[in-house]
Amino acid sequence: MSSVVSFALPAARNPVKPEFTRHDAHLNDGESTLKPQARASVVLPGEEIATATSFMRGHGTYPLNDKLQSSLAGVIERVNKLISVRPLRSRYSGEVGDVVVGRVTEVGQKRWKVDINARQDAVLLLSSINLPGGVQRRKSEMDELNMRKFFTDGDLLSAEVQSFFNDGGASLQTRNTKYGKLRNGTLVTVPSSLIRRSKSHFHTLSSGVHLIVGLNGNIWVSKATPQSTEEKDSEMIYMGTNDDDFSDDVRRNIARTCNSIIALARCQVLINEVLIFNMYEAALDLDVPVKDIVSRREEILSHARKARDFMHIDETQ
Amino acid sequence: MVPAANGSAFMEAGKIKVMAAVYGPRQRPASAGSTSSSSPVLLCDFKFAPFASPSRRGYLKDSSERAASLSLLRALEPAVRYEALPERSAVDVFVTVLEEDGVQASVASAITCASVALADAGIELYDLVIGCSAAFLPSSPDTPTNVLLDPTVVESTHPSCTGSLIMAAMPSLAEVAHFELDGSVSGEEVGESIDLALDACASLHGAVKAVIAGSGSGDTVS
Repeated sequence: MSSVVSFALPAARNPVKPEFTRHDAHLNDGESTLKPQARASVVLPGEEIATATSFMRGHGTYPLNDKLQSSLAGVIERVNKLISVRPLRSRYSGEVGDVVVGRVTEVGQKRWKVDINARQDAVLLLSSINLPGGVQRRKSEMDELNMRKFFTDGDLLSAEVQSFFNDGGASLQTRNTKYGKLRNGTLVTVPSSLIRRSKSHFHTLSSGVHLIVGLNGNIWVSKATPQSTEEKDSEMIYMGTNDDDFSDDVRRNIARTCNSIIALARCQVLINEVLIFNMYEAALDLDVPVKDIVSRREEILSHARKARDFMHIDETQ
Repeated sequence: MVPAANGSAFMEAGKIKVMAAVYGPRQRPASAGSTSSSSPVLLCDFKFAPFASPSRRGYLKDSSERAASLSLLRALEPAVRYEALPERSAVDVFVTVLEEDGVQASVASAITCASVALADAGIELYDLVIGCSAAFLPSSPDTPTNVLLDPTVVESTHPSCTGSLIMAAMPSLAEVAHFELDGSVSGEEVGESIDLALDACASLHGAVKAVIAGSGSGDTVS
């Protein structure tokens, strides 16, 4: 352009005021005032939630010109002076002791990286697994060289959250025969918010199906195996192939269980072993083919809720 | 919208249909971003569906789609609270235009849609980012203003069109996140278009908020 063009940025405009007010009542707290929409259910990023500086800012908020704005789409939670916004949807954030099901993404120096649907990959240290040939054996250099024989990229495993690093990443452990490499089954992923902590996350259903309900939303549905054989053979625990005697009936039961879980997730109900099994039995009761379970989920769920006498579960630790 | 994504959104604006999916925050793949820095990254991917335009588009990204990906990144970056994301993490934003009506207007819609998807994914944002586009046409006696907001493909590719504008604003903060001007346009026209586009962003912001508030988290999962 030949001529010098000068133009000023427009003057700051007033923020858009939401036309919709859900509640008219202001929450008065001395000199500070919580905005009317802050009493209502959902706020969006950029929305003003409180006018005064006397509130403490919690998660999901940031200060702007003596005001508190939301930085998340979520629900406002207020504990005395602390205001935070709980997101409507978030990734899994673990707690120590959680049972999780994850997939190995990387093999590193004395450690594996495991994707557990969290904000960061979790770490499984070589020192946190059961080595074959004796539970209490010291790890040797050979074990370091053989790491890919234990877990390699893409392997699924169940583990427990042992601790957290400073950056928020989780450290896992599998030092228990109930944890370890997964085989003979299928992975189902549901939103982690649908799974609650419970006494046990390992269940053998009477249909011959074993469930590992990971708190990160990964549910492992597999063939139930007698526990004694698993414990006996230490070489077996890192085997990556399925059993030879894997009958079509068991495979069908697994598929039916998987689809029942997916159907429950689509119905947005909390998932636990009782409901999974009731859903499974209700589908059998109504003679629904495996492939139609998800599409006829509402019908099956209402039937499962009506008939509560399906429940037969053997708890296994 | 997208069951596998952590957050997703779909938006229609006139003929334009845009779909956005957000994955993350998740562990940053070794290939993404500079490996030396541990700061979190936002990765944007803008693609026209092969059937989005009257003439078929390829599966690979062409130069206009690469440029649009960059515009999308530049527009969303100012809104993302990077300090709230963990180190060495990545947030992936995939925008697919199912039906386009002018590249600029499609990019503007993509920006709006992607910011809603980011909010849906629970990513901390300073504000929603609202996109708006404009085309500059020579003034004629019967049209007092020569700035057309969110032009259709006929308007934005008209032979007499002298320039185009893509703007992204954060209306709650009254800030401009991204500004992209093409062509030879006078300063007066630019000033006028900024005013118009900001107004459009503000009213669109109200509409987007009303839709989200009305539907709650009506998005289905799994």
